[in-house]
Amino acid sequence: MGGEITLGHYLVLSGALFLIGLAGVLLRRSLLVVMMSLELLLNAANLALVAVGRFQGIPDPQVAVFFVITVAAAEAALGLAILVAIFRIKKTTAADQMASLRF
Amino acid sequence: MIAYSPYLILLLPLFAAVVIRLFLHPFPRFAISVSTLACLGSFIGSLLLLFSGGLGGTIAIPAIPWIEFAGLKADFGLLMDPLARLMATLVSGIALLVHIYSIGYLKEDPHRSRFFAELSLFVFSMMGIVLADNLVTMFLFWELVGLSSYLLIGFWFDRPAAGAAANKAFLVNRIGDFGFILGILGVWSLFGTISLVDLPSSLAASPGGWAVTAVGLGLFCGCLGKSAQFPLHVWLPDSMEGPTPVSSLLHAATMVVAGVYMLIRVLPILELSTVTMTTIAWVGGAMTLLPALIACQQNDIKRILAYSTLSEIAYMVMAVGLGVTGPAMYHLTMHAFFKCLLFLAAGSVIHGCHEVQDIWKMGGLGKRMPFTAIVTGIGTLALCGIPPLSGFWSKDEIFAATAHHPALALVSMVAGFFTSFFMLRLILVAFGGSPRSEAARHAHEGSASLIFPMLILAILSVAGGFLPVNSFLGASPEGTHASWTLWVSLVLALAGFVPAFFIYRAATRDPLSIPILQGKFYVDEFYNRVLVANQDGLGKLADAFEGWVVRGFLVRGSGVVARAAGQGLRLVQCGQVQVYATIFILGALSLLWWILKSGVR
Repeated sequence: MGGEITLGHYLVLSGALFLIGLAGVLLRRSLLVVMMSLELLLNAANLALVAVGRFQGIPDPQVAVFFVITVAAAEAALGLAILVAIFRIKKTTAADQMASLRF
Repeated sequence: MIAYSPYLILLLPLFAAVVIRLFLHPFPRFAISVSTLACLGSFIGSLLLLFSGGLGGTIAIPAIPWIEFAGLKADFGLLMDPLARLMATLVSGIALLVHIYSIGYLKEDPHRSRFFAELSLFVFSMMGIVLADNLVTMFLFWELVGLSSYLLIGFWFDRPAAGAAANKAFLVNRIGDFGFILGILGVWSLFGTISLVDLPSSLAASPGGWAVTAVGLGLFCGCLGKSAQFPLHVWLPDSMEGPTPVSSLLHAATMVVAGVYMLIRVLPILELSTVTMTTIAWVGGAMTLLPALIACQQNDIKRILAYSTLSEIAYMVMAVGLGVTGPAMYHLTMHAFFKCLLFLAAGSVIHGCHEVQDIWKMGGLGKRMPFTAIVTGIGTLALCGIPPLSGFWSKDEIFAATAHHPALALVSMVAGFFTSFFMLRLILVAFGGSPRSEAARHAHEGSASLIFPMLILAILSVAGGFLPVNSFLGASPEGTHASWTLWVSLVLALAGFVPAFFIYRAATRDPLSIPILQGKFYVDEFYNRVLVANQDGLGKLADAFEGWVVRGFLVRGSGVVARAAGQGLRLVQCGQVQVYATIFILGALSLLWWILKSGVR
């Protein structure tokens, strides 16, 4: 087993992180955790981008990552604000309680 | 512009109708003035035209271009030959008298503005028929006359009978008009022109045969409807539901003779086919007698006169069928005088008796309404053709024309016998004896506006025979007078008075009772049983189709399908954001799978 870390290792790690995040988004009840999982999804993608850019020797994906980080920050701020607003009304952050828009 | 001034006699009443409808509805006094003055203007204009341009000449008036395409050219022009000028004067003159009469007759009616607007519309339409110089414009005004007749019969639309009568008149006329328009189309396709001026000269190219007969019968069909001849006569007696001035003007003196006038206009076409002419003569001949018989057993004063109108128009139709237009038009003119008079007198009676129309509820009116009684007597003598009153001269000419057709002569003269019978019956029952109801006991003469038109018409009914009417009608068949027709018809007419006098001299209720005549030969019943029942069946079938197939299956069915689909699909909307996310992921995955699968190849 060689000690060298290849692009494949990075991509496997990125895929694992993405699946963990996906599971969190789909399965957890707490909206706070759902939002954390969303961040995990974004960072999994970021990791894949940075790794590919590094191993291919091109800077463009790394530039894209900065944008993703910025957008993620904005999304987190907005999402948390909405979450606080919902909590004030519903006194809960459980996702399955947010079903006012059903048929 | 002066050349166009004759259009004024046509347009003044239209102007009045529009102005009243738009502005003067709340001011009946002004509405009546405008309408009557417009009619007066029309009458004066017609009178000026009547005596200008010579007795035999045609006044040329520039036409206004109107329709022109592929072989059809219909300009809007006026035909000012002596016939049209005579008829226009007659129409506007009678209309003027009826306007004056209506002022008094409808004094209390809150809707008299509307009445006068409709009356003006009628005068416009009728003048249009009279002056039309081609069949298309004539048909246009023909329909307008039908409309004004509908409006005026239904003037008291809050009475169900009036509404029904108006509908009946309109629908029955539709049947005749359908034949008329087919006839017009036939004329256009056979002779290549619809102009009444060019028509006689273009007949040389006539193909003859059944086509010409069909066209002639189509045109006659129009006459059947408007002039209420068998089998389309059923609307006229019912139209008596309208106000009496309307019955007088439209349904006795002018509108119903439009059919005869049209026949005279298209006579050159009719004459191409003996079948057509024979049909017209015999329909006319039969219709002189049948309504006269029916009238002998009617009790409504206006209906008696209506049946008499049917009979008199039939004389004119018969004369046209015999090819003599002069006597037909002569009788039309004289009939307008005395029948208008009789209706106005009937209106005076109804007015005086407070809406009583049954002659058996009158009685003794001779003492209480002497003027009306006298003019009714004059009208009756003129109607029965007693010399030297107006009806005698015109009827004599028509009888003279039948001299070589003994069967027609016999039928129409027997009709004269019954005419005398039912008219004397009417007079004896309504005016003789003693009052048989409270209303008749308090009967009274109307105001001057009622008296004056009756007076003028009475004078015309007496002296009409001495007016130079015939000089406008071209050569009348003088010299063909067979004296036997004169004496036989006169004797029969006088003989009709005798049984009526002895039967009804002191009757308080009708001693005769003949069900088939009371039932008007059951023509209405026949139509109701056969035609209306079938129509109703068809209507019900169509309604069922509409209700079950169109509305039930197609419309409601598609609605049900859409609703059911919506009901099913809304179950997906569970409101759980994580379920939505799962569906989204599954979708993205299947998309990815699909792309990869096709990308490998």
